[in-house]
Amino acid sequence: MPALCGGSKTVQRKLVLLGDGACGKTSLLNVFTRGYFPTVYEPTVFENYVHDIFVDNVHIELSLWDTAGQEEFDRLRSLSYAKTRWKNVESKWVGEITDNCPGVKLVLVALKCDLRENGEGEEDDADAGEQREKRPTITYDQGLEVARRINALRYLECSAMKNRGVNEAFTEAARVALSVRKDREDSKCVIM
Amino acid sequence: MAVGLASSGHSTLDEEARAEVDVLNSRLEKTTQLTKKIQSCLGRLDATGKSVRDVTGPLNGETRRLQTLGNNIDSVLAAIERLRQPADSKNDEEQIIRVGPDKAGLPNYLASIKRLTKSLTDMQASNLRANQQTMADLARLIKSGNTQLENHFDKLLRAETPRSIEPLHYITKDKPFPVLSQDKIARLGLVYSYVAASQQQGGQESPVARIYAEVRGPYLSLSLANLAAASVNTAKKKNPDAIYRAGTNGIGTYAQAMEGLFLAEYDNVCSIFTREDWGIVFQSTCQAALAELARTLRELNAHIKAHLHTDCYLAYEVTEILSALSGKLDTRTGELKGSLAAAAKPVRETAKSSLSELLDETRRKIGGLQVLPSDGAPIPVVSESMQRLQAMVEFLRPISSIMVSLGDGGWKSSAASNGRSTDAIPSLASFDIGADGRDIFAHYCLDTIDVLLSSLDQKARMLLKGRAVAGVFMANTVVIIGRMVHDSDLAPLLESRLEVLDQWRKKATAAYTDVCKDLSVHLFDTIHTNRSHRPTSGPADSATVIKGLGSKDKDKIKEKFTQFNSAFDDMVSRHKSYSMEREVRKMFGDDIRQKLQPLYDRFWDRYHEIDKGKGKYVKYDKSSIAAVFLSLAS
Repeated sequence: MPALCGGSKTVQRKLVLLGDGACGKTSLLNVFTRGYFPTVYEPTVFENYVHDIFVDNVHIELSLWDTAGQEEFDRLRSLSYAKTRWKNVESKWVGEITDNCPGVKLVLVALKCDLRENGEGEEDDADAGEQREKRPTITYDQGLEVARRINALRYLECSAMKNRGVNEAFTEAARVALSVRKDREDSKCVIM
Repeated sequence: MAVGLASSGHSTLDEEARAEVDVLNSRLEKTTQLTKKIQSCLGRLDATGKSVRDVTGPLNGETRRLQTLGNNIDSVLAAIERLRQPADSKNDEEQIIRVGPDKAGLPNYLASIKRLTKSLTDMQASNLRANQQTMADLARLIKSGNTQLENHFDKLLRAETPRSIEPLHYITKDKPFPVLSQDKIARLGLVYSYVAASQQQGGQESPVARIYAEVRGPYLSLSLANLAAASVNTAKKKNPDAIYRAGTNGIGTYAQAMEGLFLAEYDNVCSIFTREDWGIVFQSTCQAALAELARTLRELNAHIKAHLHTDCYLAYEVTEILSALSGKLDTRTGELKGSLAAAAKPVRETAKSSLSELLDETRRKIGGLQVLPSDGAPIPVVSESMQRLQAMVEFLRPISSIMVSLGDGGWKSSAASNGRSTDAIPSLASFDIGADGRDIFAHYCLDTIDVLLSSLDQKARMLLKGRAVAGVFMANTVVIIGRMVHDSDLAPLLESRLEVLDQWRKKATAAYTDVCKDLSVHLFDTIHTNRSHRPTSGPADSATVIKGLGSKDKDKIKEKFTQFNSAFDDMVSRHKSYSMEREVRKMFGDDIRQKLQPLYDRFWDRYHEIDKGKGKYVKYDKSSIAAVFLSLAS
């Protein structure tokens, strides 16, 4: 029986997507919030989408912060706080997050996992891989290992292009966000 | 038997034979008696002989002893004869002695006095009462001879020793310092070797050595007196704030002169005296000059202590000069190391304690600040402290050695600052094997920088209103420190270790550009995915976007522009009112531009049609705001 939205309380949570430029943060958000994969790459400066979802019967008003991954916006990003890249996950993004938003909960999401199949099972990197460029991908275990190291609460993989695992990623992130009761917003860290 | 055969004729024959037998028998009888007599005679003789032997034996021994005695007496007489001879020659020698070494000629005189000494020794050995008088005379004569010799030595040496010389004359012309002339040295050496030989039994300092030190000591100290005074005088300051500049004190020349004079003197000493006396004569000769040096250094030390922040460098210089002097003298002579170290000790201690004292002073100075410039302008203590490090690096060598003896971090211990010798109680750190003075000094510099930054940061938070101006103040401080390292000899030492500045720079920038957070709020918009008119991502057509907004949303956008404009203008005017180092202005300006410009551009792209270009709400277009952003950095 579909419970009415107004019936239960609405909670607000903030998710910040961080990751290297062109790793697919905006694409992921597009697939999640509108259901289609954008074909044109336009570097994001900043966007804030408010998106309603239900997780475990809780109505969550997710504030999804899309950020600029490009280095030229490094300074700007500190205003929305966060950052990412595969190799950069540990070296850059985690450091930036702890600088700007210490104590926030992290969820590590590997993107473009479709590239793995393209690479015929080679270890391709999901990182910022522009189309045909053959780049090594990471394995699930490698991703998990990094997630552990950075104390991420979840490690997920998805492909925005194939719309695989996208909803799961946001749902899990929202769940983590939900687990933080009174605390401040949660940030979710997206890794290419 | 024939007797039986001849009966008639035989009877006479028998008679005759009988008679003969009788005769023979009586002779035999006589012989027998005689033999007996002889035997008894022999017996008697034997007895007599024995008693004679008993008597003559001892008599013979006595005779021999008497003969030896006779010989001995002869020898004694001869010896006495010999002994009496010098007493007879006494008159000749007395003449020579009375005339003195000058007139008699030194070799002649010395030979005479040697002969006299020998005679006296011989007489003392024989100890004849008859010679008592002569011995007394001789002793008196020898004593007067020795005195004359000492006087002669004294006179010779004095004649050769000027009251003083002007060391500068030799230093500036690079001429060797004067030594005693060869022939004088030969004569002085002759006297010394006689006196040394004759005085050996005494075991005390030879009077000639004493005379030498008495004559030459004042010469050395007088010759150095001007330079000693000059060292104190050149330390005096015309401008109390002027930092001591290397080589401007007279101590360098003073030490140079001392080295030249002392080494020349050591050559003299070696030429005149025997090896075992070199050290003691040289030491006592230099004593007065060394005492003067110690006095001079004490005065300099008092001066340095009174002007520690400007003249601590003089302490480093003195330390280096004296350790070099001590090294050179020690190499050549093996002497004076202890005396020089003792003389230099007060200054060296000051040099050591100066490091912690200066650090404490910086801390105190900052701690005592009652007010900081309200525009965030840097304060002098920053450049002063850095100047101090710059000046110290010019004395890197002595500082390194001081650093090594202090040990890494040794300036932090309170033991070093309360003026007591850290030599006495070495800390574990001073045994640090790999301790390299340069590295330790670099650590000292970093500590100084750290003290500056952390105490100023504390003050800025207390005294300055607002994070922004505190950020300006700290960034100015960081930039000045960085610049003064970069543009000086501190660079090779510190440049690679200045990550700490980056952290402070980051902190200061974050503090200052905190304002961007407030500004950015006005440029953040929100898209509700559940509403219909949702702009596509990417560059938006503003007219379309505006058209898609409800009137409430439009009002919101208008208000955002208005609020941004006023906050932005306010930020710009405040930015311009702060006093910033050029680098700081650029750093902050760039940071603000990089943070806000993309946000504004995006916001403008999306919403500038809100007032249809009338400028009622949209005060800046992209190029005009770009110009303002650029102006922030210059």
